Amino acid sequence: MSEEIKNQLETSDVENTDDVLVVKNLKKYFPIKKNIFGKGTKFVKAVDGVSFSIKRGTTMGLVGESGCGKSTTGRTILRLQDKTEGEVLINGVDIFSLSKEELRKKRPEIQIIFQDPFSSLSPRLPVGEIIGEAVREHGIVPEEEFDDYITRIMKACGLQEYHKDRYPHEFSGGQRQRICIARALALNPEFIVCDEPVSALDVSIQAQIINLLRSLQKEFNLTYLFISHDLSVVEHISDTVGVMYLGNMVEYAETEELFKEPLHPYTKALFSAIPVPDPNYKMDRIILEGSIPSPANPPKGCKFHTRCSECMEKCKYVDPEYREVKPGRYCACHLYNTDEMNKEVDKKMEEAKKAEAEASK
Amino acid sequence: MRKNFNEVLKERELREKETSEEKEMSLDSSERVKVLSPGQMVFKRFITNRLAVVGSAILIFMFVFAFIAPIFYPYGQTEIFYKYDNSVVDLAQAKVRNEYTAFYKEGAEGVHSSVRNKLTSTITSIEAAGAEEGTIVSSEGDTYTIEKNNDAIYSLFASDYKEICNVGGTSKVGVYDLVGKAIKYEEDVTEVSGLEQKIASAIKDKKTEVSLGGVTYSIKAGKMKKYDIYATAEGFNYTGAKLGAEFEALVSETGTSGSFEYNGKTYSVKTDKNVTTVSEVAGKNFLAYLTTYAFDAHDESTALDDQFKFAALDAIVNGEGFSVNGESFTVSKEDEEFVVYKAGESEAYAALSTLVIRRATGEDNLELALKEKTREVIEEMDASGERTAKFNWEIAQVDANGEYTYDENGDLVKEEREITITNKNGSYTLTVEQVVYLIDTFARPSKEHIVGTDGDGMDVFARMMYGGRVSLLVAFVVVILETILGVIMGGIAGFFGGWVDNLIMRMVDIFYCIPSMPILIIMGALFDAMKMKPYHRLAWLMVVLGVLGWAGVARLVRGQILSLREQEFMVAAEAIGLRTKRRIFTHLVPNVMPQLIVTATSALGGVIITESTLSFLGLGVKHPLATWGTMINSVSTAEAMKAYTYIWVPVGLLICLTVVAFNFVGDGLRDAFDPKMKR
Repeated sequence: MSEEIKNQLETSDVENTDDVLVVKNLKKYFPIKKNIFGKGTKFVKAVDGVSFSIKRGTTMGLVGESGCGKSTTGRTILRLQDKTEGEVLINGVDIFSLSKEELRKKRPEIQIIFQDPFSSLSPRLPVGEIIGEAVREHGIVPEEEFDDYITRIMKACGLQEYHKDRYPHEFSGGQRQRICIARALALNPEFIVCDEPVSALDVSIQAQIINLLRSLQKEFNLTYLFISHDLSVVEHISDTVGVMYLGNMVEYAETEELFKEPLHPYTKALFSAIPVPDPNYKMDRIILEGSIPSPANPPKGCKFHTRCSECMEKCKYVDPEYREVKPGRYCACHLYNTDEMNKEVDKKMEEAKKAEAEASK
Repeated sequence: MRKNFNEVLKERELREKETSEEKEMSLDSSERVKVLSPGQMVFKRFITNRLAVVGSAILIFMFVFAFIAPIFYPYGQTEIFYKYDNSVVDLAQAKVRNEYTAFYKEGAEGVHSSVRNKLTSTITSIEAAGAEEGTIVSSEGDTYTIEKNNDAIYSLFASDYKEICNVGGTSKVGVYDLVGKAIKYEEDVTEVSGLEQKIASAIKDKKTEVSLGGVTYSIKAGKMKKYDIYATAEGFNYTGAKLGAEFEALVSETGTSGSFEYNGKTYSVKTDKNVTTVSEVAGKNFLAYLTTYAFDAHDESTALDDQFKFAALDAIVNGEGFSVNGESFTVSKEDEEFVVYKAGESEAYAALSTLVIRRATGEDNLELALKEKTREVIEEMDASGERTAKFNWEIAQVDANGEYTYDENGDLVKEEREITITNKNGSYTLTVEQVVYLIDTFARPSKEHIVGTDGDGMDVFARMMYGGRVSLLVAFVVVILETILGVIMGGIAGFFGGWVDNLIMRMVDIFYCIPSMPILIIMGALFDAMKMKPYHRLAWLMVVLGVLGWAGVARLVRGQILSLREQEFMVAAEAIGLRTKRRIFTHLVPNVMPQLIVTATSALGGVIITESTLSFLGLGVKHPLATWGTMINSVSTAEAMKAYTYIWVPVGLLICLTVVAFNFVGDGLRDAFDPKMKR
């Protein structure tokens, strides 16, 4: 049945541009110290140059430790906060070039599901109104179909019709998250940023929500950016996965390949922490030393070198390039440098050393 | 374009309907669980709160009491009530007269004040001594004689003088003018013949003194060839025969004024302008009758003049009739008093009595019949030795305005009343119970006035109602005003933040710094000075209280909005592309509303207290407009509070109840609005 719908959707798509979302070198700095003129002098580099793209109807997972800039990336893509640098194209339109009113009209196409289903629902509005108010505002459906439409959306998200008049506080966490999903879905979006949508829920509910998202994706040909720190969830739902560390994308690949053979030492360390449901399995964990460095004062060279198990000398001085090391596989690590590049890197390292020596004199 | 979700879902719905006709019943479906609308929920929670229900009931009562009940209550707030009261009124005073008044013979001059003051005391001393006559010597040396005619009438005589001699002393005679060769004499100085020639020759001879007839005249040169002439008498200058050294010794012993006896004759010494004159008292001259009698005309309109009174006294002394202005009268003695009859008339024309009866106001316009009756009763009292007596008499009645009432014939309306006479140390007071029309002040609670009347004679219950109207009106207007101001200012500050927030919050700080009481006190004084109408004053009071009060609301709203603005659902509202207006009014305002309603409801009580306090201090709403504060203020002294508990206790209770009720309702609303409240 859903296959039919998918086919219908695909056939109805006249201009099937592949990439729904293209992010180019996106940066988002938060000022933490201001001079007397109110200008930032010191910044937290929450997102420090991230580039990726998502194909229509696919899900990209974005993983990383807490505080590595996943959520900031998600919110900046939707222009819920201003960027510092870079470009975000949604269906080929730069979202930051839009005026406020244009942006408001564009909003229904790009939606977000928040991490916390408790604080993201207005406590004084009944559920029907929460889901429906933007529908009415944007005129998604004609007025006479409005009620039925809300009912259908709610049913599609696993909510009952009579929930309409209830208030968010009367629902459980899972139900609330369904309300959030229904709210996002009701606007007929193409692209949804799922900002850790299941991290606040218990495991059984997580599965429900994930399955719901997947079925909806199949049904409506949705595109997701699925932000999570839970690798097994990401593995389950994503087509491609990006790994972030300290504001940078360190690795990007198709989910299967990435999980089969992680390239970047950080990814390796991260994946080695996935528990395996087999008591006899001896986990070969790579233990990362220390904690994530402050994004306000990131280490020189490769940002990961302070904790990397395969750290080389050049890693301390030269920032590795984020590039396609194998077909379809992107990685930022000196381990995968070509000889040519290594030469260049060595040169740069020498220069940096010299500069350092001079500075210390 | 992609297909709309709506269409996709519709198709699915249709297909589902075909496949399953059965209806699923879930555990929490609306058929099993009754779902209340948000309004119903709040209401349900509110009415399950007992205190809140009590509070609402009190408030409903207050509103009915203040706004509806006055329509059916017969009295207005400024209606003044009067009462009739039987109160004992002083009608008249009666007193035995012992002051002597002089009635002069026609053409006689009044005596010197030094004599007049001594008249009564002299007569008293004559009576005490049992003598028939006495003398008074005035400060000028004149001698007067008083002779007794009967108990109440004395005759006053002035002495006749025969000049015997004058003694010494220098006095100015006049001014001699050398050009006219004549003396311009001073007043009172008799011309001296031959003096002019004497002075003329003396000036020629450049002498300063001349003597003529035993008198030495001294000449003093003045201006413009004029000379002042002074006379100096030497020794005793007799007009007749000399009386010898013994007489002269008595004269000098007497001094400048007085009298002495010599050789069986009375001599009087008087000094005038340095010249002492000694005269022989040759005889006496009748001057006046002195009497304690008071004259009462029978007809109140008749004014008795002094001429009539003198003639009447003369007739009493000489035992004859008299005639004044061509009318003849006879006098006859009846009991203790004399009655004057007009010739040929049997009714008394006037009466003389030593018992003076006057109205309590001092006017002498009581009818003679009443006076006579009073005298009769007083005589009886004196005879029996009783101190009080009573008799009935018809008294003219006064109406509500204190004026006499007349019937259709223009006659005074009279009613028989009991008059009481009380003797108090010889003065008699006539009192009568009369109906008096009074403002009914501080009446105790009764059927007519449920909680009595206040100090202005206004119904307290009516004023409680109208006072409640003002108090509730002020409370609501002020709270609405400050809420509107506060929500707008606080909303702008909270939502937009940045320098707008900073500016508005500094304004709020300033408003917080303003000491509201002094400002209100100054304003009250200002309004007093401007003599503002009570209703204008009320309006201004509301405006000022509102403007002074918005800062708190603004701070609350701003704080609330600041915290709400950072909530994820506000980000969500932005993400779903709602307009700013909608974000404020459907997401922010409903979330601020509960706190707003709670603070506003509590503030209502506060404003009532503030208004009452101001009115109590006399700075708020002014008399005659009633408010609960002014009503308590009207009995604010310690004594009044003790005496008129029936005024301030009910009013105080009303204030207390209303404020408590507002607080109850405020708390109840807060609990009801809080969706997380389980109770």
